[in-house]
Amino acid sequence: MQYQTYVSRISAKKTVVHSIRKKNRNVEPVSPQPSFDRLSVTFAGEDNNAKSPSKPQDTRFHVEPIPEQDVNENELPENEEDDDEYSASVSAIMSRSASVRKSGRKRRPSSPFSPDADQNGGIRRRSSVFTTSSAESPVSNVEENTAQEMIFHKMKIHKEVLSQIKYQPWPMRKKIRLVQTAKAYIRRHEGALQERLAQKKSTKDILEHFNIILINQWHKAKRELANLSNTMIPWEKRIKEIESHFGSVVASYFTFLRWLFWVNLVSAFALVIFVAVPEMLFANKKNSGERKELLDDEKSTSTNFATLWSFQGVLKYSPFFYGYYMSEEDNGEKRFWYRHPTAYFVTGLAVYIYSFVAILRKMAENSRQSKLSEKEDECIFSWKIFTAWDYMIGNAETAHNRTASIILGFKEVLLEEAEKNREDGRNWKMMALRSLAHFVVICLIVTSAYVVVQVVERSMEPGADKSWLRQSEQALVFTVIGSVYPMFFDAISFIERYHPRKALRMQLARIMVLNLLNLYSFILATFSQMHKMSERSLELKPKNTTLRSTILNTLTTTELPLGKSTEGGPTPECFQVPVDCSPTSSISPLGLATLLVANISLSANPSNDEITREAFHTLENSSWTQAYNLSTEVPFSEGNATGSSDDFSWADVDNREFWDTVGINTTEDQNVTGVNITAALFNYPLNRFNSTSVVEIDHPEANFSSPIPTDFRIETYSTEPSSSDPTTRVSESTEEGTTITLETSSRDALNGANRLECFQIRCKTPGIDESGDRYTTMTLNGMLSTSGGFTLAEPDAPEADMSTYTKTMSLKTRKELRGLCWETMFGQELVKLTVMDLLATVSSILMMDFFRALFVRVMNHCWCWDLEKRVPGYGDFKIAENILHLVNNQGQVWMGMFFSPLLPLINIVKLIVILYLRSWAVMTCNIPHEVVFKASRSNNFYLALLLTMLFLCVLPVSYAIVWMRPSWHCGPFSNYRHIHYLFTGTLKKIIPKAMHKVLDYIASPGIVIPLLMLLVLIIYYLISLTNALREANNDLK
Amino acid sequence: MGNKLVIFTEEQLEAYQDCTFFTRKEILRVQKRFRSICSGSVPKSMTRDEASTITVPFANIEKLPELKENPFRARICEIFSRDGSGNLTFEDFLDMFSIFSEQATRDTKVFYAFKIYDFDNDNHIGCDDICTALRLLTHSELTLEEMNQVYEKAMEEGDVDGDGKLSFIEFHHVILRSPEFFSTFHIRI
Repeated sequence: MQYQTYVSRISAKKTVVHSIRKKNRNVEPVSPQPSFDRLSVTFAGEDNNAKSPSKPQDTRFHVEPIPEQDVNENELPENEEDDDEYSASVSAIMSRSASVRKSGRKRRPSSPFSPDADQNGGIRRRSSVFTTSSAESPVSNVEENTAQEMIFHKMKIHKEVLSQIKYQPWPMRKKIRLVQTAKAYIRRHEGALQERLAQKKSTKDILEHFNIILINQWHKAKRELANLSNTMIPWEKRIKEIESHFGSVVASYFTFLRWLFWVNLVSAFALVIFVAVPEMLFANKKNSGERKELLDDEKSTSTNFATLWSFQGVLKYSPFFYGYYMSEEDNGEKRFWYRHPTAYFVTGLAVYIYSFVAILRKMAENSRQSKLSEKEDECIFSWKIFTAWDYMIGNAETAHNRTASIILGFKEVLLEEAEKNREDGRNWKMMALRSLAHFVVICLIVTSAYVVVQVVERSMEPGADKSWLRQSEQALVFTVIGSVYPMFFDAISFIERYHPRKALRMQLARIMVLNLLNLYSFILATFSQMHKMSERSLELKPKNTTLRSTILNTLTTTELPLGKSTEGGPTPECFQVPVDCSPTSSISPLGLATLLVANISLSANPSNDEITREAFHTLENSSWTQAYNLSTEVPFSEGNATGSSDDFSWADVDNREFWDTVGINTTEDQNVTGVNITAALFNYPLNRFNSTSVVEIDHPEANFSSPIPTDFRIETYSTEPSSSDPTTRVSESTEEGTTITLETSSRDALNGANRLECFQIRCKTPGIDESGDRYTTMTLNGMLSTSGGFTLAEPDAPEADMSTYTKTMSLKTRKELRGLCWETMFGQELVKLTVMDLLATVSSILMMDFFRALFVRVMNHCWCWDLEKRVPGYGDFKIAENILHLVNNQGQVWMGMFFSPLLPLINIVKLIVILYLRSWAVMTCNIPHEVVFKASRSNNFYLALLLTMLFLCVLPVSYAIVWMRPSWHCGPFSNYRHIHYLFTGTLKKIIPKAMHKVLDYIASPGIVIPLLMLLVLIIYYLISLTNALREANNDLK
Repeated sequence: MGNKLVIFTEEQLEAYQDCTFFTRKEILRVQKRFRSICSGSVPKSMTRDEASTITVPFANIEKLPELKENPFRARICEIFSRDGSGNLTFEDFLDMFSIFSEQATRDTKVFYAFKIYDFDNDNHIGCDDICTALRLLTHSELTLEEMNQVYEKAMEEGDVDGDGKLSFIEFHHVILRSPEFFSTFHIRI
């Protein structure tokens, strides 16, 4: 009967715990059964209630004697008190778990209406009692079943006990006894159950059997897994050791470091897997242009230390840097399914997004943990009493400091409490001191910015990489500023005499400003350098280089006596005539010269108008300017075949503007029929000219603020020779006026291989030679090589990739070009900074901590004052600087990551080195800080700093992606005008044409500005909502 | 290593794992620590009831680096010892570190924190308790007046029913809101 007593106690206790209503119901003498049965039934019912939807028949077994026997069998040698204790404990656990269930997971569908559910449970329970009593004649088979289920239930209870026991605040002995009881019961019954199951072969039983084994295994596996995961956290032991010696603040630095390590690991992993490895495996080295191979004379020095030190040589042409990666076109004919540029872009983007998300998630997690920490001074006294002591502290020094800080803390809060009553405790002296401090800090920051700007400018001067010192000067200055200025700030904050926490924040903020300022002046300087490099490399772009040099060459080599024709007199007419490149045709007949009077056009590469402009500037500066200042009356016949006059009017509109900017006079004649076209340079495919006498005229793009919008047209002018002999036919037509038709050339014809064109510039100067012939023709022979046309139907479509043509250039140009890949340069700078910073950190740890400690320890015996207590003393761990150092470093990594994809990899190494060295230095040569302040809140503060840093570091990168023109001879985006065109272009390709307009509209200011407004409004709304809620919260308090 | 010693039986280990927040490995480590305190009297193997009978005096336990600096060490040991003397058996010792481990739930921790700070065992934290705690914390550096001030302030903050002492529920309420408590109420072994 002992068991019955347990059970009755349990149920009684349970009902007390639960609700009075239940209790009433239980005690109500509704059941005709004897009381102990009723109670036991209640218990089972309760159990049902807690576990699963109740099964009324479960309760039946209680009339049977089996449980008693079982309990009696495994009775442990305990006295009555223990039994009492046991039952009470079990009930406590059960009530606890039941309440946990109720409040926690909604297992039961009715749980949202818990009072109702209870009622239902109660009713059900009662009804079950009735059924039990009414169905008093069970068949033996059923009995057996129910007996089993009963055992099940009790086992469940006991298992519940086992799993919950560790949460009970009871003495160990009691817990162990409970566990032993429960286990003994389970063991016995599990055995019994299994035996019984073994006897009965029904599927359900086998399933149950299987289930038991499975659950056992599962629990075991779970435990093992938990064990494993605990040991898998890297450096946990090391950090904990530091924590126990130096308190939680110093440990927070290391946990922050470890977290950064994870973030970098993920970034580096993604970049290596998706960017570096495919590039190394699949890229076609032959078409790489200047990307992957060293020049022969570079090879000799490529592995020198000095070269490697500045990340030139081998390292420059390694996957570390942007320049190494190939553009899409370079993959050649066998287009691999893996598009490297897309992968590069998307992975870079994904890593940035990941970084943001990781920080925000971590912040959310932290703030969830210390949700209420913002009410810092709510219960400050109680907290100071009960939670001030950090139980982790096991070091006498730390403990002493902690005690000191607790005493200080109490005195402070008491003082603050006193301060609250009388408000103005400030005196003018302090104010003056503090404003002086602020002033000094500002001066310091300004000087640092000045120095950085100077250094960057110096590094851009010619001869900046003369010596090792000059090369790494920039990084050196950064490091010196980064390590010396905080000391000044420290000294200044000593003058200010702020509260230590406030002082720390001031310190953090100041160093952060310093870092940001330095970083930004670095960025600005580097960007101006990048712009210069970008421009210079565009000048060297094949098409334009040859064009320019050709013109210059022709103009200088051929001596054209045009000098006198410039003044007032009849203007000479010059035009370019394409000729076959074969030597015979270079002397072309006069007929051709007259042929192309009307077909004068301007070759302006739409993408780099400056260059063309420059070319014309050169022309202008030369004495031949006026020679090109032509006014050719082009007689258009109005109603001509294909409406040429309409189509031709473009030349009037935008050429004029262009000429104005260049400074070449255009004639005043602006009517449609008589168009003045100046200059004569144009590209066309030679073969086409030969076959069909098609001359293409490249339309200058609307880029130079001309009113011609959007679409860039390529028009082909063809004279319309109907006869079999075009030359004669045309020469005739020149005299009468050329008929011009317009036809659009197919784009593909232009968008291809390198072409070599020969042309002649001919000028006829009427009036010079008054003799029989009307035209004196002067011929300039030249060669124009164009590589690919420009078929920018849309600005974000890829251009022809010209990076492979660099091999045809002279060695000198190539060498210059190789130095002009600004993306790689940017990456190099940041990698240099990162590595330099690591070295500086290592040396500063050794100098400031290790050698100092060594000196103090050794020399203390033979020194006139106590070295350990007074100057210099042992170094202490400067938490603010170290944290900011990490933040700053991470910012640099984020900034350089896009142009140096393996920078996170370097950073991982760096972080590991720092972690080991720091932890070693802290443990061996540092002493705990005097003010041991709290770590819990500042953790999110660090992350906020990091987030700010990330945001600020993404800005320049996104600027480079959106605004800068990528180098045309290196990197994966060499054939795009802007890096992000890869994205928009691909998007446009995917989306059907009809949607383009919608897309454009969405991206236009018409949508973006209202959207921004909306966002601002939403933010405003949310902020005011938060404020309102906070107020309501305060009111409720 | 022919003489592999059975420190605990499998059952014991299972039971300890069920009763504490420790893994098997950690239990063994705790046992090692326990033996290192007073290796003379504690046997290496605890397969029978040595774990619950052999006690180690407080004077020795106090010397553990984890507890040495703790101002409340005497009180902590008192709580966990069966007779309130501060002498611990292995099981008590294990229990203590289980409660202080990071895996322990906050309710358990709060419960024991309350017990620790309730120096006079009257289930309330009164003026005397707070003054004792303060004295231990600050090495009696605060004056009596200051301590009284602190006490009054603490009661202002936490004492809801105004009886001049904190009951467990009030204590729980105060502690739960503290951002520090869960990060500091640990002892790592």
